[in-house]
Amino acid sequence: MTKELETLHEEQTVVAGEDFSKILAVKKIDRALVIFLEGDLGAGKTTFTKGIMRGLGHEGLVKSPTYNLIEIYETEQLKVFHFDLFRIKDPYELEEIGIREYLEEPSSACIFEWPINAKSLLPEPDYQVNIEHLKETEPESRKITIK
Amino acid sequence: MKVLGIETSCDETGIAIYDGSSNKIISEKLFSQAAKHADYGGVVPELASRDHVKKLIPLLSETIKESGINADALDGIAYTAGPGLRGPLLTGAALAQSLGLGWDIPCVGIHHMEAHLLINLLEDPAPSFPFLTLLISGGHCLIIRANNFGEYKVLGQSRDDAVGEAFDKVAKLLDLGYPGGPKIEELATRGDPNAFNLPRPMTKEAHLDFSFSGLKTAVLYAFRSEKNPSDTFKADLAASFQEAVADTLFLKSQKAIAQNGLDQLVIGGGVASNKYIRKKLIEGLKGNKIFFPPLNRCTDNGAMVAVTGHYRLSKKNISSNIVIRPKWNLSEL
Repeated sequence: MTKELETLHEEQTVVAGEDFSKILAVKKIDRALVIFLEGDLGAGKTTFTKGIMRGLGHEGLVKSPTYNLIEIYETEQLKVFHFDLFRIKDPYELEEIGIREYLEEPSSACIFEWPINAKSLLPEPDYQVNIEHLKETEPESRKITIK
Repeated sequence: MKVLGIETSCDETGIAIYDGSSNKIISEKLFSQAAKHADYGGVVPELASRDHVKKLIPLLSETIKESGINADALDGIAYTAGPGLRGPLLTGAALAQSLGLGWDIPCVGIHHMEAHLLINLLEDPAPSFPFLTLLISGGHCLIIRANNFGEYKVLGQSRDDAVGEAFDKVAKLLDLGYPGGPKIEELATRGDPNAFNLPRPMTKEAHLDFSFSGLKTAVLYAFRSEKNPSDTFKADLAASFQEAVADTLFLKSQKAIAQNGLDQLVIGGGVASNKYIRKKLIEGLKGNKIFFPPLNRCTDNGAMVAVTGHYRLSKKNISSNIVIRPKWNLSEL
């Protein structure tokens, strides 16, 4: 199943994330759901994650995990590990932070920004979200593809 | 009381000895891994962690040697327990607790952000409680009200990217390399800060929160709009970005000062070493007392840990467990 949608500004990207969170909330399994979140710098990956967290009932901040590598959220519905692999060069670095433990956590979701930086170590994703800039003339518009 | 401080929360391995009776750092060593990270276009946490392991013992020996005192003259040890990266934090914590056991002296885990606040008390002149602090670095962007030792209130913080992170990402976008801050600062000296009209995010609102993700995206749009960006174009964009950050930090600081009726503002964190931002804040906030820790104290270091450890050790009961708190809110102290 592939779903494509277009958003015109940031808030709509948040809403798209919020809608997507409904799929995650019902699909709990005995390991972590794996979500790849792809798109260029400034595409809106953290914005989309903000929407996911809002949809799951998280009321606090959703900060960029670039510096800390991971931000952890616990909502009533799901535990979410938000990774940003932007700075990862060698997939083995993930092994050292105990990536497998996160992936084996039941009723949770691992969201990976920049999964390309560690593909050889990550499992096949359950969902793949791609955010692209849509039109040169409308810099805030995005095409979001969910597979 | 003489306290050994160990900092390993992220990039820097720092060790220092603070002497409480003279209120002075008697010896300090810092090993920055910025050069090694250059290849990676950013912070590489686990490489940093492994390097902490390699660097800690030599740094420790050098620090003690340079202090002119023997290890048995130390009265306590402090290490950064959080917030930070798990691996790096554990390395420093394990060394600190082991030394504490071996030397039979108390050991305490301290809060990285409190350390950034308390290092300022070593300055001459030093701020007196209550005072405001603006902390601006790669992982943090906050305004804190420090009412007293151990009594801090976070008045505002970044809702998305930290300000130093915005510098790093814009530098990456402009293909300038790492670390982003100094690269942009250098390029910006040749550019026009008013060439691009970039947003000053959240400066119209009364609250003291920040947001730098949108500014980063605005730079991206401006950069994309130019098919063949010349060196002048890039310098103008870097200068305009830096100006937008400086202006935002100034407006928020001004607001914090007015809302709190306090006239002392301490500005720390890695981004505070940006000379353009410093100048802008000093000029804009004239009439208030603005404190900048010296450049080498703006980044993470062992001295701030030793000072904070001294304060904590003279107050609290100490446990000998290796405790770290990768996520730790300053208001919980």
